Amino acid sequence: MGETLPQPLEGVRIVDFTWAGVGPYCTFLCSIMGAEVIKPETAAHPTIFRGVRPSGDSEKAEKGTRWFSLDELYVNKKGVRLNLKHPEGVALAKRIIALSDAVAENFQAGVFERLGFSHDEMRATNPALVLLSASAHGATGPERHGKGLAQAFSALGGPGYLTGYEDGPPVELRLPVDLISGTAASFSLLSAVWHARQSGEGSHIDAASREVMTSFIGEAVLDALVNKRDQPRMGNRDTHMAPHGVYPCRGHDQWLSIAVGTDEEWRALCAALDRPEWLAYPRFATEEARRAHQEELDAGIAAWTAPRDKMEAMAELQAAGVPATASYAADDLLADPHLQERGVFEMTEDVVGNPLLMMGAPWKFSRTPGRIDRRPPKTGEDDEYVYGELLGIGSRELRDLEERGVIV
Amino acid sequence: MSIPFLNGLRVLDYTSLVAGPFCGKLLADVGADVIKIEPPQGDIARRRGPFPSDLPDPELSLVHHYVNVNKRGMTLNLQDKAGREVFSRLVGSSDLLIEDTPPGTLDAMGLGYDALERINPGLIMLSITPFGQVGPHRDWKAYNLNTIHAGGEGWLMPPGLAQRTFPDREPVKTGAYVGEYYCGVTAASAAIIGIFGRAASGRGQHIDMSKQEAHATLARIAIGMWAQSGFVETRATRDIPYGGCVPCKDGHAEVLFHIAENHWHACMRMLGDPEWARDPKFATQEGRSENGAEVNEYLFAWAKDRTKREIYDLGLKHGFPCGIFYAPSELPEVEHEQERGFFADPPSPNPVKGMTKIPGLPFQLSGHSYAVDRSAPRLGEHTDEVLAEVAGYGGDEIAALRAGGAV
Repeated sequence: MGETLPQPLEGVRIVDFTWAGVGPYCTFLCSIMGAEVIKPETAAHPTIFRGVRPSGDSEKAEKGTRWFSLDELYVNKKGVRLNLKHPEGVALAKRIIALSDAVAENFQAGVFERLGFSHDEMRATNPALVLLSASAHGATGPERHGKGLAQAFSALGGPGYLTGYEDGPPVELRLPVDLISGTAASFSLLSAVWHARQSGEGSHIDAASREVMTSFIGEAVLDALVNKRDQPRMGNRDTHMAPHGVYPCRGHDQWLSIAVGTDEEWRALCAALDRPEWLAYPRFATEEARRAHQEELDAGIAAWTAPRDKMEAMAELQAAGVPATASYAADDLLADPHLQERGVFEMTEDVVGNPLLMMGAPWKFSRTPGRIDRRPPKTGEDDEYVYGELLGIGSRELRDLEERGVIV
Repeated sequence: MSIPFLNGLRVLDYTSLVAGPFCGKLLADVGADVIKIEPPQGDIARRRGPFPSDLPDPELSLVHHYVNVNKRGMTLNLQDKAGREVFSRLVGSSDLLIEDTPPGTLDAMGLGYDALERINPGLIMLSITPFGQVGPHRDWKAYNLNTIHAGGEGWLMPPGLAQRTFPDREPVKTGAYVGEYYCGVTAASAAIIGIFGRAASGRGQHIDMSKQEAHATLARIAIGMWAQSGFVETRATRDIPYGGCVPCKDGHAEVLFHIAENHWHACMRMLGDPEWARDPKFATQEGRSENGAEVNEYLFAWAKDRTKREIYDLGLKHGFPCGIFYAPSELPEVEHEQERGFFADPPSPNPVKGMTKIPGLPFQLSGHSYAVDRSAPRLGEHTDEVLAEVAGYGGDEIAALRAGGAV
């Protein structure tokens, strides 16, 4: 090793007007891989979900209080103060945009334009600019002004209907689908920037989270079109594999997932559970037969798992060649020797200097693994870099902008 | 291709089922030349349904016809020495290799990253496996259900009405292949970052993508709560105090008015400013949360004689977040999506009777409409074409490869 290579996205600059989950996660994925992400905010209206987490010794923490913050998604990002409600603030933002590869925003349809950011105008000064508009419903269509939230777009896109117990209601998906949409947005944004770098041609990406959701159930939609039916909610069952379920383990709310996809795995399961007789039963002889007799099979498996520790049962079944995993809670994830050895947890600080442990990137690059260089910024922490170094604004002019409420 | 973002890049897609192929599809949809390499017996997706009329046919699997569009397809037998040589030659003229074989499989065949890097120093190799390439669990097996649970999100499903209805039941899986599609889109993002990385450094690299980690990334807030304040998030604590999934006359609607004060008032206007809502115990968010079950009782009673569309339209009108639990069959008919042109026309010629539309990409490019230029390949459809054009084999050599069982 010993080679120091530039980070993959070094030299890519993104101005980030997003908040909540989708947009900040998209630009987080870019920023930990080397992109320079500039985040304009105002002290008057701090970005939603940027609250400081309770620290290890705070009263809140001691009580084990639930809190919600997405502040970790701002690591590596540059924080600048900027008032978009001031016309000069918009002009200042455009000067940053003129020096950037991309702009990301997740206002409701039309709001960004009304603030004064016309895409045509921005592209007139910077023809290679990529604009990402991320929203629940998209920039066009009759419902474009509708308010969006993860639970709503996971229902509107289709996955909600397909998720749930056989005899229960559909299930909305929560924060994870914001992060999923953000991942999809990072792919489209970066592909567009790649194209702009090659061709000099910018573009406007219109990313609707409800459409991200529908693109994840493509085969169910084709099934509906071709066979004129809707797939039912299947609980933990699979259309092919059996057994395929989540089984109780020792302790309260402890579970083990088991999925058997091949005859080899089926034989391994029978051996591991010491149920050689199952191999002789015609009703368990084929995948199809096992699917038809899942209840009996599930009861037999649950009898084995119920007195066992989920982690020990997982290790025992895996050693025998059976696909099985414990149902990990957050504390299990942090204690997992595999995840620890892979170094997936990163340490940084929050804005007040408390240690902040967080998940890093969802991938490992062999030569340029990505890195967390800096904790989330304080509002305006990088004013000097962005306004001084990038835009060449002197300190007197900067004070003037402050006094007139452009930078607050 | 209507979206030319990755024109000029070539991708070898040696993956199966959903996650890897969806990654390849996304790259193909935005202009890369993606070659799907299948073993002689074909991708396992061809043996998975759904099938038209439930009649299994390796050329008619609907999952195959969704995740492999816009790709060329060839067969290659990597058990055969000549087959491995072909693979090396293809790698020599490609930018990216996506693969999802168990860790060590390609190494054992002399086709691991170290060997392929010598053939093509700029190669970006993207390996997608349940637990990644290194670590004590790298050889463990897992399917979609298992990786979801190993990543921490499995335990947190379901929240909301399903959890309140069955509080003691086992966690339930996210439906269909949603978890796998997510891994695929994560891989696609990694792929494009790898392409940037090669341009920045002149070097290729090996990208190790673990599905467990991709799912754990989604559980990051639960991880933070535990690490920071010793709070263990559960299915129950993830619930919202009131609202959410609401049963109605013809299905279920999603009604969300717990976050902002003005959403509460908007929702009460939708309900016709009912008498019960004036009770002081509902005056504050705290009070409403404490009495969330009662709020839901009133809401459910109001909703039961209304259709999901009525409720959604009222919600849109009054201005708070809401939705409909659309069934897959309803989606192509949704006016909003029709106007946005989300669904694409099927490829022509169309190999699947009744496949009148195909869902579009997870994003739209303004001014362009997504098109499926090429249907998912028949098994080995472009073998000869790829061997000649990409690997530079002559007609006699191709015949010999065929006779020897390499392709």
